[in-house]
Amino acid sequence: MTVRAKLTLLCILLIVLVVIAACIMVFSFAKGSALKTAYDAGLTDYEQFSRSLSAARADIRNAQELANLSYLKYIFGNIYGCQEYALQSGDASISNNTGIDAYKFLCRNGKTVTDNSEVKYGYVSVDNASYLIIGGDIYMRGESYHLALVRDITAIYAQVSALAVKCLIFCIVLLAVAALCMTFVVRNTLKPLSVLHTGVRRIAAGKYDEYIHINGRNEFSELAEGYNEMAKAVADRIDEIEKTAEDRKLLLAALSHEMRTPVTAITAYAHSLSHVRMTEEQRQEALAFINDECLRLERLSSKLMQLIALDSRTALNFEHISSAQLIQSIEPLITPVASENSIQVTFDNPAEVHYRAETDLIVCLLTNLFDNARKAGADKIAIGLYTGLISVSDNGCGIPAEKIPKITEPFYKLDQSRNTEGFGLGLALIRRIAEAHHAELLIESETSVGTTVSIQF
Amino acid sequence: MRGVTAMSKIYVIEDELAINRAICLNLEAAGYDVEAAYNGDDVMAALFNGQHFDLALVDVMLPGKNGFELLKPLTGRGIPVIFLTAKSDTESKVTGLSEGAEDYITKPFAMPELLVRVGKVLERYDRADKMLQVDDIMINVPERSCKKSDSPLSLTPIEFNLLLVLVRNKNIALSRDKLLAEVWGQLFEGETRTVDVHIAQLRKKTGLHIVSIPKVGYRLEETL
Repeated sequence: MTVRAKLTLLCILLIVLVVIAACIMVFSFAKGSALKTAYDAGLTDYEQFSRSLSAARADIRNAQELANLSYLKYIFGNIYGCQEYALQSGDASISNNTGIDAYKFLCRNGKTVTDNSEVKYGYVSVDNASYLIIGGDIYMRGESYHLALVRDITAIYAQVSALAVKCLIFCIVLLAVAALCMTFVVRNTLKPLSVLHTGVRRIAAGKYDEYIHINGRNEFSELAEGYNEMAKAVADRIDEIEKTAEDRKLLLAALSHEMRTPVTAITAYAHSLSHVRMTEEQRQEALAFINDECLRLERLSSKLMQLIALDSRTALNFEHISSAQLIQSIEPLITPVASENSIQVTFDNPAEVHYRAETDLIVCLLTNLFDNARKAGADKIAIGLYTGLISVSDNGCGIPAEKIPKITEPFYKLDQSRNTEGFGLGLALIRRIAEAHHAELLIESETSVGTTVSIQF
Repeated sequence: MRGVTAMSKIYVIEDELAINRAICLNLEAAGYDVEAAYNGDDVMAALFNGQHFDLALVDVMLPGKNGFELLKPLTGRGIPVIFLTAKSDTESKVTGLSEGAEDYITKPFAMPELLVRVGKVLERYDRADKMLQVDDIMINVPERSCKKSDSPLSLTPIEFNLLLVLVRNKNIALSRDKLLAEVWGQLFEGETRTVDVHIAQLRKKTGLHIVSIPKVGYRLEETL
């Protein structure tokens, strides 16, 4: 059973119960009040009648027993409303116009009107007719008689029943309207649930970029906000994962492409050494090629390892290093290569500055930039160390403007077919190092003039 | 008519020095006449100078004119082309073949595979050498006849085929399985002993140096 149906049914059931209880109460109040009115009137009438009877009897003196009884019967018959009364002496009925043995009934079931009164009353139903009976003993000239009023109150019961039927019809109409309203209200209240449900199914189906909107400010709209936050978080995370996966794929594709040439050469020479009849000179040449290609693979692997290691590192060991210390660390690494290639290296450090960085990484960054400048055919390289900025400028071949955005991608080479000694990993590594230092990498270049790469902390 | 000493001339166009040299080494050992080129522009210059080749092995990624750009100039001069490349995507493969390349070999490739494909393309173009010579043995391929120092040599069809395979791959070792597949056919389920028996027979009849290389197979060595 759905929550909606349950809630609707429960509400309707509650209304039914309340209405029924109200009906019963109204019915019983109406009945009680009608009976009370009839009873009060009955009691007054009874007392009036008994007084009239006593007054009439008082006029008769010294009559004989039989004449006495006849006379009593006579005056009883002459009092207005005598049809409703029964009079008897002991067990013998003197006059009874009601057709009901009221005295017997009162003796058996009658209730006293007040605690000290001898007057009793009761209600009785005979043959689909209802009667109110009030009766008691009256004393006339030293003798006791029983007098009882028997009043037909069928009409009062009929009135109350008619009222009950009207009440019931009204209640049923009221119930129908209430049920209709309830269904509508519950459906409207729970509508956001179906909106949320649709949203959740969308997420399950892999659509993360669609948000839901719920009007108003209530628990549901708060839930919707929470849902939207969740959807956004999921979408962001998925995007991130997809981007990483795509990067990995590209990296792997580039790596396998990069490995293909050395692997082909190594297998070709190894196969030739075992199968082909070669001169000693050819054999030496084959071995030299195998050696070269293996070294190339090793360089590729170590460069890649550096890149991966940097990717997986979470925290850097930041330390304060001065520009002088930095120059001291780099100089021995680049000077031999520079003099071998007759490159003129100058350090521009106008004032002693300090950087908050990991020394090894900055040294790696600078040597890589130096290598790039050398490979670009530069003969003048200037390394500048300024406040919050490190730059390397060269007068090499430069980078075409349209290729600058791509140049920091792993394995990207300016001339794809040229077999340069590098792998296109240097700038990718430099970019990662800059990112790890939350620094900005700026590349300015002009073809056949030179390139300046700077790291802005 | 090709002379006895004329060998199929193969143009190896590949910018990777190591791979170019490896291909040349194998082709030369197998008895082909080889010329190497390392960029597209050199190829164009050679073609303009009227040089002719029986087959060209062309790398797609070349400095200067790339492999696809070289296809028309080469095929236009009746030189069949086999592409060699690291590009394994089907798109460039289809481009190459639809524009008239004979075959396509993806790096990393194995040398024996390359030699087989070269041989097949040459046969298809009827450029395979019709007269083969090793030491004092002279083979006439179309006539399926064989002479040793001008006197006819009687060989069974199996022996002739075995000799042909060995001569066409001279100086290169062939495994017993490879020989079985080439001479007896792929479906032949013989033992490698069969090869040993026929090799012994061939050695006795021709007097050629068919050297057994441990763990590899047999290699016909030409007297240098």
